[in-house]
Amino acid sequence: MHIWKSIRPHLSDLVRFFHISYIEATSQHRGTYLGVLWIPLSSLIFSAMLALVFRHSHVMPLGDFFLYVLTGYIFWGFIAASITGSTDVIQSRFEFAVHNNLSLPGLFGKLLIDRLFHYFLNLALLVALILLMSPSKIGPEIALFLPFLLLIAATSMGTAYLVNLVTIFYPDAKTLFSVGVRFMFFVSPVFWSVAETTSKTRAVLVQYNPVAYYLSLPRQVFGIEPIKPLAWFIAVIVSITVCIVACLAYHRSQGFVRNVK
Amino acid sequence: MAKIDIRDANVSYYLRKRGDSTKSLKRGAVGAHILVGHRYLEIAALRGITLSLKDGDRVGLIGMNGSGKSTLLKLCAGALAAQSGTVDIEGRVSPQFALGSGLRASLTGRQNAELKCLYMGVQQSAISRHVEDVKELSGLGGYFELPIHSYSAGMRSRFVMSLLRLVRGEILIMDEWINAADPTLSLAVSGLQTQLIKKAKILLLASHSRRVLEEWVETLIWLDEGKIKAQGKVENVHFEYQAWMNMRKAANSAEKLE
Repeated sequence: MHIWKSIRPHLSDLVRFFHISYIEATSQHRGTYLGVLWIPLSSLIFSAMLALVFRHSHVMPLGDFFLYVLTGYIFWGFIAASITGSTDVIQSRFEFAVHNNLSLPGLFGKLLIDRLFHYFLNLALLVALILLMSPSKIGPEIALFLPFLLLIAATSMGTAYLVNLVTIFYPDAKTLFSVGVRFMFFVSPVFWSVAETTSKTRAVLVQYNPVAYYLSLPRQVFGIEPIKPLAWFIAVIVSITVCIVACLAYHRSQGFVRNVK
Repeated sequence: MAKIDIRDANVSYYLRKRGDSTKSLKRGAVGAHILVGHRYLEIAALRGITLSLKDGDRVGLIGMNGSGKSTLLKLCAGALAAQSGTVDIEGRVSPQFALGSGLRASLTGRQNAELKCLYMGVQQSAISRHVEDVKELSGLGGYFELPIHSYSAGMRSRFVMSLLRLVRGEILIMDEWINAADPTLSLAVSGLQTQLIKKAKILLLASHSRRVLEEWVETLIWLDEGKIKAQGKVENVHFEYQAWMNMRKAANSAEKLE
């Protein structure tokens, strides 16, 4: 009872911010018949196209490869939004935040919930498709969803602050981040399979690219890939590092960044 | 209990240096000192500010443009940080510099009001009642159900002012008294502001209007070039400020004649 009382206000805030995300997402799709449903629908169309074009017939069946691409693509959307959507948060949205009862961490938290809202809409589609196409994939690994969610939420928030900080000090970095994210899309196993690592380059990309480990996590959670403890270990280490660096950066910079015009 | 406790605070704005910065050093009639740093221009907006406010305090700010009034308000609202000194604020702050910030042009008045309620932390069960209050106050009728981008400037202004209904906070920070051009709304908006001030534990109001200051504040702080030049009863500080302004005007006229 005591625990419930202490977590209830936080849950209530969470629901409130998801409601805000819903209204704001609706405003972006206002005037369309499908509204926010365009978010999962566009992911579905793009993933289907990627799966058809980059299909590795000898590695896995088309249906499985489609689910593989979809899982990777929707999580890639979350990663990309954490970076490209965070280049000018303080510069352009902090004043808005102050007028809407949000602190600086609160603003980054609100934007994280916006990203999670989009991700959850896409996840709903993914789960529905898995249940339709291959229900046996959903197994006990689904229990890893909560740790996965906590891990990506913390990493996304830390990354967002660091990206914003870098663009405040080096405005040219905004374009570099945008180009870098596009580059990472191609060199990360979003639409090509990790199992297809006959070429040396791809093997290197999978081994030394941290995004490859993160992309593997939701695939493991939804039974599309077998559990790989190494991927979790590396992702946790990277996340802890990002969060520590972001916390230190926040404490050392928050007094300055608010005053940069 | 609400409180604002600022001790020896210095606040600067930073602007990235572009081109020839030496031109920025020329002093104008208004504004704070601009210092040229290695990578940034530093605008020393507040210097050595010490201010202590507690429950029941009603404080006004006066000064020329660029004297630091808005910066002090933003410091108290948490929108700016102090580079040195301490700032300790207790209580929920309600800043009123830009009521309409965050409005979405593609959403209807109703949806925007809902959004504002959610940001303000209004309970889900009370949102519809508050939205109806805003609708009634705005007097927008059917337009309340249309996207904001279809509003005229006046209608948008009515809507934004009606959002005052949703404001709640222990520390009320106002940059000028909000006046509605439309007399039918003016009375209601003034009434709302009166209610807000009465409910607030601390009021910090920057205004150039002597009438507004005399009506709502007890203590007046005169800021000049980022420093507190005088602090005391409204009539005394305002008299001092006015005399200084007149002297300054006379000096400027004499300089021009020469």
